[in-house]
Amino acid sequence: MKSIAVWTVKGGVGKTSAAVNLAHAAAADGFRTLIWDLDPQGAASFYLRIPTAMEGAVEAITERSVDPAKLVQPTEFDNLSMLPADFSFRHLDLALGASKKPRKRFAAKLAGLADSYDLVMFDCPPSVSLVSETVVKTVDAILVPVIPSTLSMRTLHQVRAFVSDHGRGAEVLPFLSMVDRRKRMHNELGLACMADPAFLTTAIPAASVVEKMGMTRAPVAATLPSQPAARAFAALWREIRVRLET
Amino acid sequence: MSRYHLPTDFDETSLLAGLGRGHELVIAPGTTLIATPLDTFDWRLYRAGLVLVEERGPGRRLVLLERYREPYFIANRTTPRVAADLPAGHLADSLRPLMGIRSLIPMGAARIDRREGRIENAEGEMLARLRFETVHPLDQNGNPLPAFGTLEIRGGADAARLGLTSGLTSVAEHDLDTLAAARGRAPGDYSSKFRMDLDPDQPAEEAVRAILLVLLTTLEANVDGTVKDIDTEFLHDLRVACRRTRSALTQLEGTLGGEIAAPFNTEFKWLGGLTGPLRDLDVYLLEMPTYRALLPPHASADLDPLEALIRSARTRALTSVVRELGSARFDRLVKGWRRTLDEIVPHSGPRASRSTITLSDKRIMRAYRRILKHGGGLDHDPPAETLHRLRIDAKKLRYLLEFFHSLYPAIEIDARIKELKRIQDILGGFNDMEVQRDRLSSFAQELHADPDIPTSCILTLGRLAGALEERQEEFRSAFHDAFAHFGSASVRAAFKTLFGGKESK
Repeated sequence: MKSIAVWTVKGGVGKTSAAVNLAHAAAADGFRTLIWDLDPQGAASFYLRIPTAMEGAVEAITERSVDPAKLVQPTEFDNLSMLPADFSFRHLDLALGASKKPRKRFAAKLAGLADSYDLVMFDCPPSVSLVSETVVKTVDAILVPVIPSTLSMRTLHQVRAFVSDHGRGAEVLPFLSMVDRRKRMHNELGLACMADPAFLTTAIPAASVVEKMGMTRAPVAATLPSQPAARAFAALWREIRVRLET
Repeated sequence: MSRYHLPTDFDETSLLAGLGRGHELVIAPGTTLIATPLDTFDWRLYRAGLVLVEERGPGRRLVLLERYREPYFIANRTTPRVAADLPAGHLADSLRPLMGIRSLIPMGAARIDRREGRIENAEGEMLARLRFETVHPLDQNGNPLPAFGTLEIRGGADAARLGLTSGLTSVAEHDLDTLAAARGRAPGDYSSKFRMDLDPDQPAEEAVRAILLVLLTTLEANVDGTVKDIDTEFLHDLRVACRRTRSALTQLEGTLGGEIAAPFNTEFKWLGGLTGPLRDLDVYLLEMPTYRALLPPHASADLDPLEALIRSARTRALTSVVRELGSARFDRLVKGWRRTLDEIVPHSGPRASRSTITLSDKRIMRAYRRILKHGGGLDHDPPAETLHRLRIDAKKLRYLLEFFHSLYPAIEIDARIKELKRIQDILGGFNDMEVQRDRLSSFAQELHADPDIPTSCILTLGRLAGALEERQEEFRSAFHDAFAHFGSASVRAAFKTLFGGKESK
């Protein structure tokens, strides 16, 4: 089983739509995929029509006696299951801080899912917190959406610095998100990013079909599979798969 | 997941009846597909609690159903036949170890009209995922049989709690039984293992007849797969059924009346002989990866001409086996044998009426003592002929233990089989190495005569022969210690207790 966190410290960069669309692409590719929504906003859960009010959602992460597998919900899509967010996740930092050896416990929780899933994809809250720190220390790779803008790229430096200080060998995989080819700055900065060998080469375009996920409440590939954005997510997933295998 | 039978007049909106306002049933347009469950002839997937289905509709995919798990899906381009055809990942990880060298075959088929949907609440959240299906099982010729409707419900909010399915009857999570039945099969209806329940007090004649009938049925069941060359286990099982039959005829003679068995024994010997060369070649090809592993990596390619030679020899051998299995002689053998078994006059044999347990005890002890006699007193370097004779003796005992397995406590008889198996593995390994070495030298001669074959290939065959000889010697030297255990006082006592008749029990 592989685990990936989609994480950045800046909001509004396409983090949740990437998590949902990539998890859907992985599932379609034959990976038994669990998307674990840790963002108290619950946007990933919303996109996949999964009810968020869940008793024990915090305890499933912090308490040894609560099995997260019991809270898993099937989605409408084959091979794709979800551990939905709960609004109580806004206190998850406190709960984690109060538990003994939170990282070790979290890693054990994750390991307990290895029999049922080939991939666990975390949608992390867009902040530096004990939650993100715990996840970053546990997963195999961290996907970082980067808009070709000065601020977003600065954020990538912060993420990298954080991972190099706190991570335990997790690979940082940045990718270009919400790219608008009509904008000169996007093209120029995008090119600069591609010079960085760590960057995944597939760029996710800024597309109205991605924005409309709030209305369709389904991954783009499920409703409009031939759209460029849907193809880009599939291609990005294939790249990630190769990186995870090597 | 839960699944229910759906009456033809079922009103889908009734699913919402127990739910509050604002709930909605959202159903996508329907699709039609052909579903084909796949398994090995001996149901290895089914026995492990798995059902593999190929679905061909708008797309093409494999679905793996596992107990207590969500169904698993993967797109596929071609129908997988052997383990190597399975796409890497969960499917291959789950199925390869089970399948081994067996091939997947269709175990039925159905045409399915399917509609997928969900029940959502006023917030648009999914409470349950639904799948409505009308299943038309297809018979052997692809003709639809009477259809039935099903509803499958998946979802965190369980259907019972929501009251969705009040009044509906649960059905199995898949229709394997129904689809297989349309082809005259039933899940688990075949196993390579000999299994039958006997009554210790029934007349021995009845038991022997029943054993021989089961063996004949097994033999016949494997003809089609051998002829179609589905996998090599069909021929293997066919040959084992043939050998077991011959072993039963000679070891249990006197039970059926000698004149009955004699002519058939000759014919079963013929069947064993005609299928032998093909089996040897199968074994060679199955062992090829092991042979390659015995050689240094750079020499592995030197075996390619050998493999090609064996493959073409196998094609010829298969043609000849297929011809003979379609011959009037084979037809006379199986039909005549069945008729003979069906028509046996009661109490025809001199020892027909004694009890099954008496026959079994006596014959097992006799076979065990014969092994002790032939194998006792051997040193660390036993002669090949003795090991060969012992291998046959051991096989005879093994067959008897399997025929009469049900008459004894399983734990005890399984322990005796395990002890026997230990020396059988050594004796079998010793013999295999000898047969393969002999065959290798004749292959080498054949290749040597071909001017296109480089000398390095011939030299590599020599090297391989050396490696096989080394392994054979390992088997030879392992025999002494293994036999010392098999003939030890404790194992003797265990055999005596289990099979020594009434006085010892």
